[in-house]
Amino acid sequence: MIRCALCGFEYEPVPSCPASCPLNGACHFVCCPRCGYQNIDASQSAAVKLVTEKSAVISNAVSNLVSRIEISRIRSK
Amino acid sequence: MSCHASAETNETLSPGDGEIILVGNPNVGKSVLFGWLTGKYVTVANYPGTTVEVARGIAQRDSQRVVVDTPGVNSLQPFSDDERVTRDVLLNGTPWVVVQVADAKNLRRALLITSQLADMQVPLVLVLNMMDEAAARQIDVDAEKLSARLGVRVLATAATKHQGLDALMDALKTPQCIQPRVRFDDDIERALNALEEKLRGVCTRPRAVALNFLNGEATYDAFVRARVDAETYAQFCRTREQLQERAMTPLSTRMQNARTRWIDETMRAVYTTQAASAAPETLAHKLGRWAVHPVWGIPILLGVLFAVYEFVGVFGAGVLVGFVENVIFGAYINPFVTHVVRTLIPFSLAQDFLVGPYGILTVALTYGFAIILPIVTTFFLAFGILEDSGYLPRLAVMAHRLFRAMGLNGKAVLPMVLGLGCDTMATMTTRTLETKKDRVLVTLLLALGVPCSAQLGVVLGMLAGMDWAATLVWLGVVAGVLLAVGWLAARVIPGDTSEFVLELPPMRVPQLSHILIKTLARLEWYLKEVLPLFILGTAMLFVLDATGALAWIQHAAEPLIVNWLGLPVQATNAFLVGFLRRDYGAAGFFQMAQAGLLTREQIIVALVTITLFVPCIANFFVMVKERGAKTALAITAFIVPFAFFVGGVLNFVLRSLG
Repeated sequence: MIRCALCGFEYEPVPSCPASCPLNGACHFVCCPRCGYQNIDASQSAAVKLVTEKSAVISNAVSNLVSRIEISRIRSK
Repeated sequence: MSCHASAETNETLSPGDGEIILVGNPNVGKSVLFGWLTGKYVTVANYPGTTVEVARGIAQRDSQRVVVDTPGVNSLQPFSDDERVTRDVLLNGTPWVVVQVADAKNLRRALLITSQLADMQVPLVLVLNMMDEAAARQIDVDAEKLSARLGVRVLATAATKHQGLDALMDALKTPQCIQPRVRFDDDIERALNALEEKLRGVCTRPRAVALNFLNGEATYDAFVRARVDAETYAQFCRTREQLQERAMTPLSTRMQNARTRWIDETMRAVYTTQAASAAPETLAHKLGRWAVHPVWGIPILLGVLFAVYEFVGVFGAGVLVGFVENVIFGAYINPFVTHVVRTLIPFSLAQDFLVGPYGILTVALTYGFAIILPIVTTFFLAFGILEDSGYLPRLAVMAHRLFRAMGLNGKAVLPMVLGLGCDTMATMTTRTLETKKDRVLVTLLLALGVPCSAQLGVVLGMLAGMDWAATLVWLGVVAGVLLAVGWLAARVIPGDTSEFVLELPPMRVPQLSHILIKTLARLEWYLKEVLPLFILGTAMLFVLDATGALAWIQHAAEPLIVNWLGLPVQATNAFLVGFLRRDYGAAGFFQMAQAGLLTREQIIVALVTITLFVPCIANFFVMVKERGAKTALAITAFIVPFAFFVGGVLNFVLRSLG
């Protein structure tokens, strides 16, 4: 769900580009059905996907490392 | 019960006859209900003559009737193909029952369609869906009271959890028409009755058709013309004109006001939010209230603008651009790339194309990454904070006061505010304005003096390098031009100035992760859109330079650029690429200012002129699509000389003031 930054309306980011838009859907915006404001749809961004995937991998790796350290600390005791 | 206005009709059987029609706003759970009613066996086909898909299935549970899932719409007065198809399904057919699916959380939006269904007098069942989500937000909709008020069955459901759906099959057997309908003023009601009487034999929804005809809706005009003789049609048009002439307020506004009253009264009777009434006022609520206060709102607005100016202009355009351009690109990337290109590529023309004075790598990419990127990054961060905090709609309210002072039609405010995000998109929203004059004038104002977010960022960045007086001169001239053109527009377009209605969401603390993600997505979009244009512009300059045409253009433009605007002749290049995007032109001036080629007065003149240019090539194409090639060319033919005219006058004023 996207919350419109202008009017607060919540809606599914269904692409519904006006036919006259020259970008023809090649943007990351979804127009609010209530007020027409162009809200950014971050889920369409390759950069955002990359960063969130990488950050998930990094956070997994960090948590694995922390648990290994913890396990080895307990074993050493 | 049947409440079709007339069983006699000249129409052939069309979609909607004897069927169960589902209608409602987008994302209200219509498809879930459709799936529940029909099971798996569904056909999806384009509605005749359109590319809009309409799903049909057989009701498995009881009646074996055909169920039609219409596209989600916001109104039955159509602006889009989806809305036109839904309107046609209802207007042309004689459905067994219409099921309106409403999002209980957003009841006001649904009631607009309900009021239009009341005009159509279709047999109706109203499904108040998402009641669980409404309850979670402490929203209470009294379904029984709503049912008593409208005179139709109202069911409270949570379709995704299959709650409340069992009563639906029973309700479908006893559909009723809504009573009371929207009551318009006596003058309109008299005209409506007269038209309705004449339309009764030729269509199934005479009141709805008569209403929309009086409202000036173009497709209903065609609908009526196709069904009555020429003399009756002329009489209908006369009735409409006379109705309009008898009152100062536009007819459509009077009708909309009556509809809004009907919706407001219904909302007051059945809709309550516990959160709003019971909770003590928090600091966020107070801030939200102060932000739109006629007095306290102004220092808050100035404070916000100052903070944005400092962050984008001083930090983004000063510190960040200085570091990226001079250190990263100036000391490392550009020397390295130049060395590699000159070593590997033996042809001097190809070398110049990549790393020369108009090189793709040393100019287009340096402009894009070293100048524009740091500025728009800081601007998008600031913009994200404004959006996430809930201040943006308050800014719209404050802007509305300014536009109202200009006397501009209230409906024109939203496109102008949207223009601060993207002029191209905002131009498309002008189609919601009522008259052609409104649409053309707001399109003109948008293209003339409303800089989009990216352009505003670059302009702010340049202004931050100077003193406050320079910023005030730029702001004063651009606002003055907008006010003057807006004032003139308001004289041409009379209208109600109090129609701007915007629900204000609460103020809240912005989430850093949310802002960072939005900024990243915006930057990706921005680079994808502008870099090809930057490359195209630079390649264009390279070709002009290589063929000697650039020197000729600069020489020919000297009277305008040097004598009239008082700028160095190299400024011609910035104006040339400014036709592709205003911010690319502004970036050219930015670099000239950094190189010491522009004085303080010249920077102000250059910025004012480029701000008043046509925003970008995409905006031009949208103007062509929305307003037609002739109007788009006329607007451009006005704006470009006008921008140079204002810039020249400013040059003379600044010079004469010393």
